[in-house]
Amino acid sequence: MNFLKVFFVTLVGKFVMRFSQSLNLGHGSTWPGHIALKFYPQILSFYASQLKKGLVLVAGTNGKTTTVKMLRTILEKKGYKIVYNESGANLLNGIASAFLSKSNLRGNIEVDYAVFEVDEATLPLIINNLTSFWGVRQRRTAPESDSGQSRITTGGFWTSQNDGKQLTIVLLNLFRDQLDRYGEVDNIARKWKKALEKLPKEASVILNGDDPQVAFLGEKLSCQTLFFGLEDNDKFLKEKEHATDSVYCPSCGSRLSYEGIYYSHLGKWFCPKCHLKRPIPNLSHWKSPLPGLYNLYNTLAAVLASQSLGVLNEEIADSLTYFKPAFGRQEEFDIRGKKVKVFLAKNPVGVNEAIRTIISFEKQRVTYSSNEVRSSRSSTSNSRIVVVLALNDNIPDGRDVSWIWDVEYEELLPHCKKIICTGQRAYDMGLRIKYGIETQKSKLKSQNSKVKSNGQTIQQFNNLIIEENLNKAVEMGLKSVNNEETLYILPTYSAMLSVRKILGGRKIL
Amino acid sequence: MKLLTGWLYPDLMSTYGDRGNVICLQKRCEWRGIEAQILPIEVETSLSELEKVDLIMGGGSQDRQQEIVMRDLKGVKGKTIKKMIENDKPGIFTCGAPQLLGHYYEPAIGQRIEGLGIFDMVSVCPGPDKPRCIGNIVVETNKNYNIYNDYNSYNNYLVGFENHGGRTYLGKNIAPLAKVIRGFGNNGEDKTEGAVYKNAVATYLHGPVLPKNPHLADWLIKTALEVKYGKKIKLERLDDDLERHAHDFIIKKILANK
Repeated sequence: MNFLKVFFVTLVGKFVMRFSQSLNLGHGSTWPGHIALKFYPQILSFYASQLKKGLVLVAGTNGKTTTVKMLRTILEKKGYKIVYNESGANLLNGIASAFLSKSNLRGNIEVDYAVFEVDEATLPLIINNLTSFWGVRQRRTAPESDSGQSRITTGGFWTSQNDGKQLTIVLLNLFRDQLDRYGEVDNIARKWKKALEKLPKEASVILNGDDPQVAFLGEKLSCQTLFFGLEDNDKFLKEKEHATDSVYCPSCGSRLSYEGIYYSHLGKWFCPKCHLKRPIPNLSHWKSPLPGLYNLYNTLAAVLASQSLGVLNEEIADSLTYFKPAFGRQEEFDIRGKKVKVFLAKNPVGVNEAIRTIISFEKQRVTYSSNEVRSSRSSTSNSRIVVVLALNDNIPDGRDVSWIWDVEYEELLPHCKKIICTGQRAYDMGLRIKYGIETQKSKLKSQNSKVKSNGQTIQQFNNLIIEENLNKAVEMGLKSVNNEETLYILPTYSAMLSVRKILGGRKIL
Repeated sequence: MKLLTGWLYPDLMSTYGDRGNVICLQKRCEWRGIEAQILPIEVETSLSELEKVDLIMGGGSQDRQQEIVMRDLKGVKGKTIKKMIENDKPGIFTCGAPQLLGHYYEPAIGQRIEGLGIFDMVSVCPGPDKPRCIGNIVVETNKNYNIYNDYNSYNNYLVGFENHGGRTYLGKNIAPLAKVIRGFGNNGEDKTEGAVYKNAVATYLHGPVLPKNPHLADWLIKTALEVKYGKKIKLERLDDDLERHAHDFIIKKILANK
């Protein structure tokens, strides 16, 4: 009975996968799993039980895709066979699809590790799914219910307590993202906490100690907890950003103090009232293969997880040397000799960090080129960036676009010679930038009245363009940069998929 | 002319791009040569400072933050705000802020939070597992209220995005701000959205609400100045081309999507 079920589900799943891929329907990474789960709700446990070494789940608002890619790279280099889900396909159906793609028709998979990025709301579901299963294994002699029978015959993820299979949960951060889908940040933290409490004591939880709410999840867990965090006071922010979420003590609710903030609410925090404080990190230094502070955090998470899986430091360092970013995350394209960089821009914290990275790139570029052709005068004006801001409001983007008002676009604008707003919500984006420009203008005016400078700087702000059509906007952007400049595109998720299509004609995942 | 906007607890109550409302009020004043200042109203702010404010603005917050805010407003600060609103000073309260103005708010988890009782309304969250009211929303402003047909309006609609777990029910002594055309509004049942008392406006609309509804922003500015200077004010018209496009987009999108 069970065999037939598996055969049927796998066959149908595989057929759907092939079908949607060949027609380029773009749902190849979620449909098959969706159907499989319908017919066989325990399919995740069924596959997980076959993993030879272990399962790693990565969750958090930002950095999932990059962290999973790093972990994959490290484990693959070690010679392990990995199953992973496609970026964004991080609900139950995406994970089931990933398993299906590795399965033969008998339902067997030959895989050492599964490394999955998991959507914030899905994490508790998956943990429950696997641990309730684990609970059944524990009560092996208990009377079997109908559902219990099929579970037991599929074998357990932890077939015995000491077979060395590892369950690792990596939790990166909790920022405000897609509030329309998730409800509020506090709500997610509460659900995560509940789920983690059910973990067996053999599991490991890797937590970002610099994020107060995430660090607090480690309190009173029976399993192993490890923390990563930064120890670099030079990287402290000088000013607090607006897009800040949990500055309140996750334990007693009073306002947290910081020795310093790295970005958003991540930093060396402590509670003056109940004396809760940032846990001492188990890992705080590693050379990040990608620019940006957020990527340093992703690196620390991936490295600490790999260490806990028993990978040696030299092996980790070796495999990350030539690490390439995941798609849409600082991905580079070369279009007719012009460089284009795409930064997925889906929430205030992510965009703020992207903006910082872009400015640092441009500063480097200007210093290099000023040695060559350009006179030092014109290069110091700095306003040379062309940027395309693409805002969509489909479900994967978040239907609520109000978050753009929490982004510090004001920091980027003085460096821009042209800002092109596009996407389904091009006018919302344009309106946000209009106000940004006006704020910058008044700031400059008050500076100018003190310093006495020319009026040229203000003129540069008039280059706000609104073009609803994404194709045209990208084309316009390309026309506005010369061969030594870079066009920066900051799209939301669905806009990013379209941008990649426009730029590369590469396979869209 | 000068306009001082008091922004309630920017640290605690700014969840859905609410600072856009503040920037909008400030810029729409400056573009007309009206000097605009923002005063963040925090736990440390003194009463004498608070009383100088010409316009009050409050944004959204998570349940936990809302409790901290309420603790501070319980005392004299809340009474002062009540007096200011009774004396016709305008205010704009979005997302979570309206819940503070009513008699009470029952959060999803935890105890009932007593409100300031300025607005005759109550808010109740049916529970953490009950669906939230989420989506784009279009409403038509209340014909009986002077926001409707204000000379600066180019239509009587307000647009925005709503995302609230709490359901608000109006009492007898308060008028709704608007009638729901599409969306949930106060409670998803009676087609009312928001509330108006004297010149204070409460609404679940964010997006933020003011940049995309410049007529509402202008009404607030005008009213604040009229109350402050005791004379009729006529605001200069601004170039709102971009604003109208953003506004109309939602109307088109939501009305096409039956």
